[in-house]
Amino acid sequence: MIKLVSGDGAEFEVEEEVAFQSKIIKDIVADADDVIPLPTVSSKVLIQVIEYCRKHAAVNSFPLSPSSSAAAAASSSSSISYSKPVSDPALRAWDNEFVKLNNSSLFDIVIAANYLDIEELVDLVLETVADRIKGKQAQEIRRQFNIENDFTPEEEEALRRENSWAFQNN
Amino acid sequence: MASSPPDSEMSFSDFPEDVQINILSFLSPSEVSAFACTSRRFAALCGVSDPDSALWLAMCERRWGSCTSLRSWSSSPAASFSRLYKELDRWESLIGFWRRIGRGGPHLVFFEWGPSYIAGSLIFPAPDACGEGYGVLKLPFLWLGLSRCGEAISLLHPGGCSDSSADLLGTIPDSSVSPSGFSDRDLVPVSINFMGCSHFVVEDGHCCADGRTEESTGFLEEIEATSPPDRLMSEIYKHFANRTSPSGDKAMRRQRKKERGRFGRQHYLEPEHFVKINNYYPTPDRPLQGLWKGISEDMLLEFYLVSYDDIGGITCRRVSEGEQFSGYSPVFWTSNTTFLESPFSKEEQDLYGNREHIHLVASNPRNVVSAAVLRILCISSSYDLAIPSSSASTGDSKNVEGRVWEYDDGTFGFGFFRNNYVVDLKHIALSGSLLDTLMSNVL
Repeated sequence: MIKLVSGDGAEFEVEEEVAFQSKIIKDIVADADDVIPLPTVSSKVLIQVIEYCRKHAAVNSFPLSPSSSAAAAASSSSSISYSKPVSDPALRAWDNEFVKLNNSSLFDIVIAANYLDIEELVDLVLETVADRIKGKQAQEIRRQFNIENDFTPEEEEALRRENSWAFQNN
Repeated sequence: MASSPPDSEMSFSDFPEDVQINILSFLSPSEVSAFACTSRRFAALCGVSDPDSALWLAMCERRWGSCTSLRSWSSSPAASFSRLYKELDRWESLIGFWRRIGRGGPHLVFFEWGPSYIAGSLIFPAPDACGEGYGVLKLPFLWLGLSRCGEAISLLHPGGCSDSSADLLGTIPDSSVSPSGFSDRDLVPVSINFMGCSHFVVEDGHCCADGRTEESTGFLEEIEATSPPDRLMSEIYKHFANRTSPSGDKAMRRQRKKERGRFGRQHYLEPEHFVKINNYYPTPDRPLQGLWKGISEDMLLEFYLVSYDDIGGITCRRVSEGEQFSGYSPVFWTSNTTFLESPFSKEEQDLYGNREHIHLVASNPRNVVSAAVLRILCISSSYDLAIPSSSASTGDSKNVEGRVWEYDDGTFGFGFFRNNYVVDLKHIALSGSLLDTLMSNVL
């Protein structure tokens, strides 16, 4: 067991395979002891991160059968998904539930996951944030992410025209 | 972040800049464009006026970083990542199997990622017992990359213009004996035009004027002078390099450029049409689906295409090469895709156990199916489709009955009651690469 200590002093005992979803913790444990202080991570966020790691450690510990893993490898290589797809549909569904959080919670998790080097979790959260930008006009994005519009209306119109040229027709 | 701000105050600018770019890399260009209009700061971040911004690279990396080495596509400062994004967005749908339609039989073409290009190869079952009898012959066909100026370039290997596979295969012994026999051959710039995402046409690229030809030539010289291209293309360029190097004599090069130009103008390429073979891999729901290879009862390596139709049936057809009635000859079919599960009845065990797996004498017995039978599917030989009366009128349905034995390694074999053989099928490609390939010495 490994003991993780959050910034607000809460202690969490987790199994090695759960903690080792974080590459940083894996490295720390390799050359130090089993109590790991994480001063920049709050207990609220750490609970969420551990929940994610526990789920993924459990799924990853059951290797797929040879035929289904061959098929999974085959189907993933033929897919044109932007990011590495999580091949297990049940895990994917669990992930989708996990990220049903407000922007600031996602923000906290991604900062923590980045710090702990849990690549899959970082990608999951960033893609979720990106999904909240997709299909929206500038004004909706500003509202969603508290972005202040510092353009004059003329500038904004000019930029919109320039952009549609730069991004769509080049 | 121990004290997280309330949501109303959380702003996108709170993310570190590298995280911001990471988020935006999940978006499409038009979505990035909308985001860039939100504020001055994000307009700059999105590199509205900088086609080589970090974001374009991140967007390329997000989509294709695991397939290819994006930074090596072009060494040119003029070749921007926004340009590369646009080309790869178009070319990406090439990856996989295509078949030629129209004259000359169903050539199969396989496109795959290279470190700095996309390569398309004609593939055939190898003659003889190469590669334990399962060798696949791979001939250079099309090559897509960026020129020195960052322009998209498609090159056709002239062998690919041959009318039939027989012509192509016929060139192999000659070329291996005398490579100089190819001195008049060259890579031909072509244009690849998509008609939807599962149909493309290869057309003569010379309509784009001489500038295009010049440019591609310069590009090839650059390739040969800089990084040695790996695997497939090294074959193509070896020949090319021998002709333009080692002296690097400018005059010689110019002369050769002229020759090439002349050759190019003489050569007129008929447009060739290709359609995509979708579903060429098995899936958990469709374990037999895809392109396979197996040694037929005629002791020849053949390609097989197994497809599932919308109403739940399965058909297997042989992809015939270079015959008069070339195309797809039916092999087996079933309308009932319910597998028999283990434990199997005595009859089923005997039916499988007494059979001989077809393999070439030369092949290593250890490589001949060691996998266990996972499930069994009842099939019918497609001969009764060709000659319907033979089975129906005599009532001898045994002749057309057969089985598919699905193995625990994800492959399968099939056989019929009319004889005692099992044709074992293997993957032609897995995880994006061809298996058991033999490079031809065409160049």
